Formats: sequence, C-alpha cells, structure tokens
Amino acid sequence: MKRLAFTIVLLIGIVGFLFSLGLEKMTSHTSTTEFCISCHEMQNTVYVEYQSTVHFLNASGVQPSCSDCHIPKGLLQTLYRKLLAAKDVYHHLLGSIDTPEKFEQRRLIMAQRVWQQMKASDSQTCRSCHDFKHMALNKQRKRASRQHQIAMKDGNTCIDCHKGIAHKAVHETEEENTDDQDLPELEF
Amino acid sequence: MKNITTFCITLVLQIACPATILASDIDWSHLPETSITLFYPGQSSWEWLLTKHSGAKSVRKGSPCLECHEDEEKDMGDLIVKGGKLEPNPILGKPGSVDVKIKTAYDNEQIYFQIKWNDIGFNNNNSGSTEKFKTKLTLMLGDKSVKEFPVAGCWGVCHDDATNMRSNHNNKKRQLYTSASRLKITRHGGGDKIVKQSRLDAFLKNRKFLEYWQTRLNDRFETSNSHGYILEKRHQHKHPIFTTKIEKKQDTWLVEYSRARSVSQPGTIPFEKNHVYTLGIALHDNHASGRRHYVSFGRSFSMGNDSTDLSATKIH
Repeated sequence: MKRLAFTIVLLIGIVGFLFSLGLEKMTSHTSTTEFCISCHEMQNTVYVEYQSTVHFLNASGVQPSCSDCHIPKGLLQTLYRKLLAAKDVYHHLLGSIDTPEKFEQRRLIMAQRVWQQMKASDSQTCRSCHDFKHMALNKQRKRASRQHQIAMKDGNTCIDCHKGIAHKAVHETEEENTDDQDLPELEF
Repeated sequence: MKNITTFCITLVLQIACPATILASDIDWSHLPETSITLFYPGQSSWEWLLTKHSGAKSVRKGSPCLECHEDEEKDMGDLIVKGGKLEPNPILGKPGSVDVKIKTAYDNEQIYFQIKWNDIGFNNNNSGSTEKFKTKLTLMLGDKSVKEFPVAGCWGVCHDDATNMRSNHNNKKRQLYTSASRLKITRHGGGDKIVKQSRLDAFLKNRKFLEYWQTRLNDRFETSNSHGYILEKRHQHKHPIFTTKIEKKQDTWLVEYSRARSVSQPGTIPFEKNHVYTLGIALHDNHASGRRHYVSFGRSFSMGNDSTDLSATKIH
C-alpha cells in the first residue's frame, strides 16, 4: 500500500516536473523575437519599424525583445497573455491581416488594445527597465525632467506619453474630432 | 550748419514717414538684454494645441508653453519648417527660427522696448506672397483678461480656420481673433459666429483684447507702423500711438518702440506697475504674410517685477 502511494506521488511528481518543464519551454520559446516574427504579419511591418528605433539599436547595447514589452512578468500574467494571443493564431489562419493594406486598416485598433493593456498594468513591462525611483532627473534633458516630475505627481504611466516609440507613431492617426464637437474644457 | 541740416532731414522724415520718429534718447547700453528665439509655427493653432498636441493636457490645465518647451524653439522650428503634419506646403530653404535680443525700460510716462536681430537673409521668390514690406516686426501685448494669452501667447488667438490654416478650406480671409468673441469654438475654430455687438463692446470696455504694435520695414528704409487690437478680428487704429526708431547696421536690424503708459484711446491697454502682462513677438521675413512667420512663446512681462520673464528697468 505504501509502495503504491509512493509510486503515485512519484508519478505525479514526474508528470508535474515534465509539465512544468514543457510549460517553461513553451513560454520561453513563444516569447522569443524569432517566434514573433515567424509570422510575416509581424516581420514585414512592426518588426521593420522597431529596427529603426532606439529600442533596437542604442549606445548601451540593451535590446528588449518583443516579449519584454508585450508580455508582463509573472507566470499567471504570462499565461493569460498567451491565452489572449491565441486569437492572433486564429486571425493568422483567417488571413485578417495578411497583407500590408489589411494590416494598416486594423492597425489603430490593434495599437489601441496594446495601449489599454499597458495602461491597465501601469506600464509594468516598461517599468521593468525604466523606473521612476531610479531616474536621475538632473541628468535628463530639461523637458524630460519636468515631464517626469509632472507624471510622478499626477500618477501618469509611461504609455500615457510614450506611444509610438518602438513602432510607427500610429497614435497620431487617431480620428480627428468632428466639426460638431466642442473643444475640451479648459481647466484654468 | 550740420545741425540745421540734420534737423531739417529729421523734420521731413517725421512729416513724411511717422515710423521714423525717434522713440527716445535712452541709453540702452546699461540695460539688461534677453535673448528670445522665434520659430516657425506652421499650422499649429489654439485648437491643435488643445487636441492633437502631445502636451494638450498640460495646456488645458493652463501650463504656459515655456514650462515644457524652454530652449526647444530652434529644434521645433527646424522640424516644422521642413514640412509635415503642421506644414503641408513648406517653403524650400526657409530657416526654422530666428534669434532676437530684447531690452525694455519704463519711466513715469512711457514704456520702451528695443528689439534687435540679424537680418534672416532668406530670399525666395516662390514664397507665394505679395506683401509690400519685406519684414514686419509685431509685438502682441495683453494680460490674463484674454485667458488663453498667458498660457499660449500668440497661439491663444491663432485659430484653425484663419487664412491658410488647416480648417480654412475655402481660402476665406480670416485673421486672428479671441475665443471669447465666438459663440462656439470647435477643433476647426470658431468660424464667423460672433457674439452680439453689445458683448464685443463690453469686451472692448473691459480690455478683453490684445494690443499689437507692428513695424513694417523694407531694406531701403521704407517703413510704416500699424497699431491696433485683436478682438473678433484685427482692428487697426487710424493713427499709431507708439513711435519707433529704426536702424540697420550692416545686417542687424534695431527697432525701438515707445508708447505712453496710459492712453485713453479704446483698444489700448494701460501699463501699470505691479501688473503682469504677456508679450508675444512675431517676425515676418521675405515678404511673408499670415502664418508664414516666426513667433515667440509668450513671455510674462512687468515693470520692475523680477519674477517675470521680462522686467522693464526704471529709467530717468
């Protein structure tokens, strides 16, 4: 009886270990830039744009991969993000954005989704490298220093200001106000 | 004999051309000088500042432009002038900015400004303008009575539907105006729906307008002054009540203005001690008209208050 119990526990342990190993392999493989750009939808568009930004090539040689910005840290958050990404596979098979034209048509919606996710997580992925606490404001350019102080005071998050820094500035194409809309209220 | 000749020339010039009346005999050499960079603004309007501008939120809260953009004027001008979202029709080769030096002083009766800059030297026959005068220097003066002015300077009265601006689709002539003079302002400006005349009269009476002083110059010293105020449109006084002294030494222009601090004429603002004003400077070059000019961010200005960007020095 004891032997049976031991065998079951051992089997559960082995299965659990293999599952964890597989999970780890799966998450790390699907989090590589190579995996992300294995779909031509990414390779021919956002990846090309990324290559001309400071996040790709810079003086310090630090280069975040796709997942560093787009997948939050932590197993549960990672798995949740992977689950959401299943729809990317669905749309890939469907061919929803398989041409540059189709990609551009849906681009703003896709970008807005990413901004919402980043805003909701308080730009957690940005902050794993750029933390207010470790910013030497006196070493920043005047404007950056001022803006960061305002952001700290007002509780703003990175993505509030830093849209379009690793890809095309698609936020600038957000729909214009119409003639009938009043200007935003002045607060002074 | 030489004195008589000089007197006669001065008299003739004063009669023939009021802009050449000597402004004052101030010894400017001892007064502090401030450098200001004017830059090419393209189609950045008040409405753009409140919506598409990345710092729109700060503007809505009343932060002055300089709070974020101090020392960025040259970079901004260089970026805008070459064409893009804010300039659909760039003028090839036009510089993005120009530096001016300003001094200011006052006494019991008068207020004085001295502005100096190097001639931009940009000549392009394809700028599409037929302006008679090659250069126009404009000072815009006001206080918080026009609430946009301390925040956005001249942008506070530059709207999206003004001539050659983004929302002026039918090429209608429409100049600067205050937001308060319109019934409603949208992303595309306030159009021609102007508030009732009685309200405009009240604005004029309560000095809810901006006063401008403009000096127009040509290289052969043909000059003219224009003086007026911005309310529902640009109003021009029949006779300018400021005087100017204009010089050009080699490539450097120097314009000195003086004006009585207190005048009773409607459409003028009194200059009182312990009061904070805003000053905006604009420079049109190469016969440019309308928006194709260089503009400064608004600078707070006072007589003797050192906490403002510009503080006039007491003289005499």
